[in-house]
Amino acid sequence: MNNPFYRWLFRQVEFWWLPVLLVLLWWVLSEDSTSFFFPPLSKIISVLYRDLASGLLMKYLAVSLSNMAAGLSIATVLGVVLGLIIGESRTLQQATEPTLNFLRSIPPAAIVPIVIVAMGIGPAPKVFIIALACFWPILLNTIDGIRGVPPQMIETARAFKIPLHLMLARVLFMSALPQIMAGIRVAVAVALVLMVISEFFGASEGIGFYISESKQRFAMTETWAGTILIGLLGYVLSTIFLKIERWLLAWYFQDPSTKKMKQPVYQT
Amino acid sequence: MHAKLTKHLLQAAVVAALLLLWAIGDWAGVFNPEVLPPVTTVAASLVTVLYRPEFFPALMATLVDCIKGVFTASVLAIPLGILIGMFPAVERSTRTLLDFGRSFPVVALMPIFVLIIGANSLMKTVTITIACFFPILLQTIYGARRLEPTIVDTIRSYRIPFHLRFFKVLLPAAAPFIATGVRLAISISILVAVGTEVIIQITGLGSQINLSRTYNEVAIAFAYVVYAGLLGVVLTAIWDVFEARLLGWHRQAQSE
Repeated sequence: MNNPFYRWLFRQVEFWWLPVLLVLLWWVLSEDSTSFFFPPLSKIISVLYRDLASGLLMKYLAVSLSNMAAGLSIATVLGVVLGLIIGESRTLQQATEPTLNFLRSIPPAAIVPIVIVAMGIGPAPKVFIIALACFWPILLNTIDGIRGVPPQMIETARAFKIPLHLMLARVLFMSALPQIMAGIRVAVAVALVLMVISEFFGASEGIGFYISESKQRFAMTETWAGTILIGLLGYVLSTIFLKIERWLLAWYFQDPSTKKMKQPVYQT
Repeated sequence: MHAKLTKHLLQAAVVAALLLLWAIGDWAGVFNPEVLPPVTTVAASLVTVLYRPEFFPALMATLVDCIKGVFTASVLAIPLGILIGMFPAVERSTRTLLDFGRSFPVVALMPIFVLIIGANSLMKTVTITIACFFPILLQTIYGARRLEPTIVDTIRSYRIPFHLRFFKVLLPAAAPFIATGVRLAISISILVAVGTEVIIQITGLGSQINLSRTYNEVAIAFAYVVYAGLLGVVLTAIWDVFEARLLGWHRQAQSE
């Protein structure tokens, strides 16, 4: 039991036995299902494999992911830059607080019809919607992160007359980075949701389109296959992002004094 | 007092500046009125939309389904979360499953739900419930696990029975975190409700946005968007008051 390999193995079993069991149960219980709504899992998986292998879903995945990536990048650049500016000044932060609170309360899904009807079903309106929705968690977490920089640190930097650009990039940005990353982590989930909603609303390609189009044809197996693929995508994206975060912020997580990470300011 | 007044004046100035920018943009023809109608038209629509017979039923439909969803999710997630948080082995066994559930975009289930349940208010409530379930559950687990070691030892040495440990120790200890979870769930519920209404025409603010846009009443659609945002602000504010009442003891203890 003291062998590190066995300990690792035990951990993995502990983490995975329940999901594996549930999938097996689903598989076995649905195997003889003749219900239209619940096709056998084996059939769903084979349809999923068929459409992935034919390249159709691969193409759709690429479309959806590139819209998400574009929206997220725009939101990250704008959110971090504006967040640095607003967070850096106490007055500005206080003055903009109610406005930002109201604007972030607007459910991004509400503007989907307006934007897509006006701009068409191409990628541009989707990128716009995803960017707008992801902007708020990144902006608010950046502001919060900057406000949370210890005043001693800022005063030390001031005392050494550190130039403004270094102050922003090396002192404020770096100390706010854990909170900024937490904001981006929330934004990744938001991007996925808005990708799905905007593709459901109007699209001619993408995973959301695959699901809604299958539903229109009452192709239940395909609908399930697409939904499972989106679920896996969400899990993989959030796992990858956590890995990146751990790697990028290794200095932060290794420091025992900063063990207690502040909760991110959520916005979905 | 003076500082407070200055703060509020500045806050009003920011709002005024943004509206002015919007007006200047309209005047200069920068914005596409199909996407962002003139500020004056939107302002007028904010009032006229209130007199429409469909406004109030739509608002109520969204509001009621959101409350139903958040309530059902809380009833399911809070006890489950405390139970999971109580036993480290259970927490580790469910972690992968919960990570999957948390990262799952629940709106993607909409087509399946529409086929199984149908395009109705129940389907909307189910979607909202599932979407709200995970943030409340995860916050509750987090709260229940953060018990101080001294308290854990005290419970053990006094052999506090299970039901007392559940209701008198873990639930109050996790309460501040549960409250955060519910606050997240409230804003999630509105997003999911509006998202569902937009996609599948179920009565609510979302379907009104969609309909107004289809009838080319962009400013009216915008007014509905603003009211959807206000709904979130108001519900969160009500929750904050409720939370302050409920957790007054916690705030006091923290400030001491």
